[in-house]
Amino acid sequence: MNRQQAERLLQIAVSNPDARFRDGQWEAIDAVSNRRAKLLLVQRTGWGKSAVYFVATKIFRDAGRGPTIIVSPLLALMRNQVEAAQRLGIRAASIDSSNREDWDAIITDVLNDQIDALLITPERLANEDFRQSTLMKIADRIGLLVVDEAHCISDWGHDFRPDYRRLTNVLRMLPRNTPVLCTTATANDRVIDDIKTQLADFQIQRGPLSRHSLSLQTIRLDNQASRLAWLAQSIPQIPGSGIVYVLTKRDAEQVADWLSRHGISARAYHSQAGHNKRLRLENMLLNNKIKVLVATTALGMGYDKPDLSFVIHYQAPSSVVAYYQQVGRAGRAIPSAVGILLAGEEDEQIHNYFRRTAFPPEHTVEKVLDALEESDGQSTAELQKQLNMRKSQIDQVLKVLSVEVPSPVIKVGSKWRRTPAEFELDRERIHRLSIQREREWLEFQEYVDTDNCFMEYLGYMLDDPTVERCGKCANCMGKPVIATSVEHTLEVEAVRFLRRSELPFEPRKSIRKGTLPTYEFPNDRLDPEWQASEGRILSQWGDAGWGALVAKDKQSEHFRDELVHAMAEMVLERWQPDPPAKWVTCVPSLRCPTLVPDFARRLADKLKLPFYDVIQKVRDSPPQKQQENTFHQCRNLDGVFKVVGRVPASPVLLIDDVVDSRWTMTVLAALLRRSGSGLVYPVGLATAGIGG
Amino acid sequence: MATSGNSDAVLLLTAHLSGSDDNGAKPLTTEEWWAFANWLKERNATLENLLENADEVLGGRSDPRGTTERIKRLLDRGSALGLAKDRWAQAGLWWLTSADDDYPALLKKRLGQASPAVLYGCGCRTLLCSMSYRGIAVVGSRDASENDLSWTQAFGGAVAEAGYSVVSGGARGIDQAAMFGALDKGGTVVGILADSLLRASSSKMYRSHLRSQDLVLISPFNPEAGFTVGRAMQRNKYIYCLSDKALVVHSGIERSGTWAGAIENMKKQWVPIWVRRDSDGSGNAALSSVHHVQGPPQEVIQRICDSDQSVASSGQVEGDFLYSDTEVETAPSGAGNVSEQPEHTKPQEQSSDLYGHFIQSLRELLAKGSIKKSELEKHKSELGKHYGLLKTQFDAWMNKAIEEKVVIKESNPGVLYSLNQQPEHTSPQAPSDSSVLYGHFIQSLRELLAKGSIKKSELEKHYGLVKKQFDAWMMMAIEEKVVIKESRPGVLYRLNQQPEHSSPQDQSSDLYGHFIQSLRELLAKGSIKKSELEKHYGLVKKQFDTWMMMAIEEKVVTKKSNPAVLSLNQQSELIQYEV
Repeated sequence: MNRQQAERLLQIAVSNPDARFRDGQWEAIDAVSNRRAKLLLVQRTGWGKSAVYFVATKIFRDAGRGPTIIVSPLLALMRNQVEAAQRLGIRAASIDSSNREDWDAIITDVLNDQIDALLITPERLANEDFRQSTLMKIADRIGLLVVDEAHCISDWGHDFRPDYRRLTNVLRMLPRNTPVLCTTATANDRVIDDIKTQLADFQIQRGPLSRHSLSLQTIRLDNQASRLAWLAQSIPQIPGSGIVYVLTKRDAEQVADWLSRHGISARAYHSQAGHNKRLRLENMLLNNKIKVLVATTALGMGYDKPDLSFVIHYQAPSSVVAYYQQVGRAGRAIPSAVGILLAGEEDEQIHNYFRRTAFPPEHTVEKVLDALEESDGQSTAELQKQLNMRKSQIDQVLKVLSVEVPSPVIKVGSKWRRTPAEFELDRERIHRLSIQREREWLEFQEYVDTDNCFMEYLGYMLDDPTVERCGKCANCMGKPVIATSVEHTLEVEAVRFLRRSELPFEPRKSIRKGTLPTYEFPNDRLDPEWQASEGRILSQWGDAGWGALVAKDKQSEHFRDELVHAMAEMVLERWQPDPPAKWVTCVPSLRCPTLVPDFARRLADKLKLPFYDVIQKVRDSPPQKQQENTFHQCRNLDGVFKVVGRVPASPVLLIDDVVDSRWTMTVLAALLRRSGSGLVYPVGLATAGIGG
Repeated sequence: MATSGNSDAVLLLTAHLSGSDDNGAKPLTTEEWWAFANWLKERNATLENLLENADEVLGGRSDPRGTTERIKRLLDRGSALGLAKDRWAQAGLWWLTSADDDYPALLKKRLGQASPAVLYGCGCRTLLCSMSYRGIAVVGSRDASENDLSWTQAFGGAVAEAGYSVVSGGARGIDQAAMFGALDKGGTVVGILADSLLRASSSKMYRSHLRSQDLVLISPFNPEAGFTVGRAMQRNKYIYCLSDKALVVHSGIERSGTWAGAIENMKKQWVPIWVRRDSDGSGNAALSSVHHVQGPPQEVIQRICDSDQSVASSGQVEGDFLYSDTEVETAPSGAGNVSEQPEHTKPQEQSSDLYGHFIQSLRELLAKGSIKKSELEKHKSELGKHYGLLKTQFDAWMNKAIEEKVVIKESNPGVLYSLNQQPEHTSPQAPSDSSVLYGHFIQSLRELLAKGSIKKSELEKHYGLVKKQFDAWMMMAIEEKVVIKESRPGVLYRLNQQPEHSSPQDQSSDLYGHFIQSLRELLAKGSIKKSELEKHYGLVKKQFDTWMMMAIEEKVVTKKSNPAVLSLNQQSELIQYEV
């Protein structure tokens, strides 16, 4: 097919007889569809990469070839793409974890040649069950393979993404006559060199990355209260709607809550929100139904809203590449947009945590491998039971191991098996990656503090040779794009807000089978009569509200009165459990026998309720936080507690300091209720963990 | 292995990729594949050409049964092949196609155009492809008596001690008894599976043997295909064809797979076959036209081994049985550049170089007198150590030495190895310890790598050493810092440019000095981008980062406000002195 013919396809597709290919589009289409090339396409967002693979898809389909498979990391993008494709007369469908019930029908459509383009996520592609039971059924028909956000292939391009590593393994295994199109808007020389090394037979086409509509600015505001205040005062000044990026799920909820309280329609978006909710939120922003989506990097790649008018970072991202990726979403099809980075004091600590936990520690890898070595295959549930490890830890280990070639583990059916491949953790690589991450973080710090043009800096870091001064960023203009000062009263209010960000305690509804024989509970599923009621936790361990004080006081083994007041205020003014609690008791500890009872007693006084110390610890047990999964957490509590003395039949506040697995509270609530108490409200000073 | 064009083309055309039924075009059968390969050869076209431009190559092909259209569609299964190969490679499997150089020569020789287009495998590939490979097939039923099983286990051990590999089908019963009998005695085993290769390769019973390279498992079927009687029957012929002799331990009759396999072997006259007389298998007595053996395993193996001489010398019954009427079909090099595989190819030059040294030193050793086999067995590991070789490599070379008649294996009971006085090029000064062989290896490695980096797989092929040996020496070479292993997938080795005789510590501080000096010189000309600098030095990333960080800390260089750019700190000397 020649250029004119292809252009005609484009014209028909967009019903515009004057439509022409943009620079480079035809060359890319020609390489892939006429010469079966493997091509890496580096073009800025909005250049028209999808037009390339949709026209190529048309050409392939007209020639009687099979459908295109598009591997794309984001749900919202996939839905956008399906619609965009349909406008071009391409029958597209997506397969992702949100539409499992449609998979069979979609696969049947593919087999009946009713689908031209099928979108799947890298997670699907790396999922063994999906590959064996679904993908392989249609794999021998695939005409063109497209990989979106291909910078993830490189270690330099993104935080470690095992799914992309697996995808890379597949790309390396393709025969030379199989065309592939990889696309990205975010790649510097390092990333491209790295991809070239990994995918030797790829050609590269690269265009300028500069974004002319964006006005960039950075502001250092150390504490969260001042940043919250800045957001509340500044966002209403910016026309249109946009995204506020945060680093953790907890921050997303908190910031959205704060903004809503100040009359800004804002919603929180993160990976735990569930697919349908996420989709709904993406659409709300897309249609300007809300002003702000407060999002973690779960909304990082591919979100396509042409009129997005601002991207504000509440905390700094991990690297220049990540920042460009996120801020580049703004101002695609509007003349002006702003990208403001707020840098805080906790950013470094959070990234440090992410870096530290990116790879599983060596001893956990060894434990999993040792267990598999002694067997002919085990499911993750079996592994969990045998090893005292969290499911997420086991999953992480298996995922990291399974992208090695050859891999020391392989999944066959529902079981993981040990292959004969020798395995040694590549310490050098892990070390190199951590150094790299650290270096990227430092490089980004220089962006925050640079006096030069911000856009020029980004372009330079992305090795874009066409970059020049933008003339519209804060540094070019010599004045802020948006004022940097913060209203004092708003900041005071934000401090108070942060200190009132308690979290709900969701009670568990069952106990792990066979773990608590001593208590002789009749069922594993707890009778509703014996379940705890919803409770409250005052803070997140070490957070900007009370969490820092809780952490400090736990060290010195005395919780100060300020925390008693804060807790009492939470119970009386905000929570107000109904029916109200009539007495107070607490979780005993043999290691630190007075810390919690002392606090609970003072709280009871403050609430004008009696304190009854009715729970005894009759046996010492290893700390609950050392128990890594539910099986062991539950079993660790067997026969440890005993309820003694008179138990009032009225509702009770059950106090503990740090709430981790929720098993202690669950078991004690059941014991209290069995001894005749009323409703049990669990109350904690802080939750463990960082809240990612 | 990643993407050899030829092997990809064979897989595209013949492999069942999905493990279940293929929805699209049906892969070519063995027969269809060879017919197509012949057609390509006639046209002087190669598989490479086919991948580059299928339309052009297939242009003039008549298409009576729709095969041409089918071939085009099969060639378009690239994505499916990528996914399948990724899965196999993940499991640590490899694959050999009839277009690959190390496809087992015996199979092509005996089966010709009936040899399978693809073999999947796991474990020691060299075991299978080695020129000195000799195997005894041990076949029998799944359901055998305890007596037969324990006899077979002992027989497996005896096969190992006689220096043969056990070749068997990997099924439970007789097959596994023979295999583990050999493995337990430190012998080597070739298992040819009818199903579930991937599962078997990750099973507890085989795993350690695969790892220690004493075992190779292969299968002509998709590694995740399940059991069918048809596949099991088809598999039988490969067991015979990859052996030199065969023993039927226990067979049923008529409907038994063992029976059918034995009958097929007799018809085709692949290898001489013996049947054990003392077993209760109903088929044993019925297989009347072959030699029967009886007694304890030691005696049986003795008889089978002794027949070796008769084949070689006088061509008695067994000899006729084996070779006389067999049509020697030459393997078609159907795909143009698929090279022909005569059974005894000359060993590759480089490896023969090393092998030569081995032979020389063996000669020196044997010049002092014969060595008893039992002693050799007992001291095998020590001898191995003596030569700095791993056992499997030692065995392979020893067998080759016998084959080339450098060494004679005497046939009397306490088998002795002695020097064959006939060949008359005695070594001037025979090297006698491991360091000499290793030294030679290192020297040739240096010469090779001086030309540039080399992929591990290529290097491995080049030397033709057993993988474990190769790995062990490479590890030494890396430890001694002769070569550098680059930490990328598809491992590359390159020559370490560092001076070799200084101690590691001195070396690195020394090098850092050099690095700093050259950095100064470079930066004196102007600022340089970090990524370019990184490339310029070609250092391991970690090393580069550490040194750069040191250089910045010591204020030799400064990072410009644009952090991708480095420049010389003009006051470096001063600041250094101050510190």
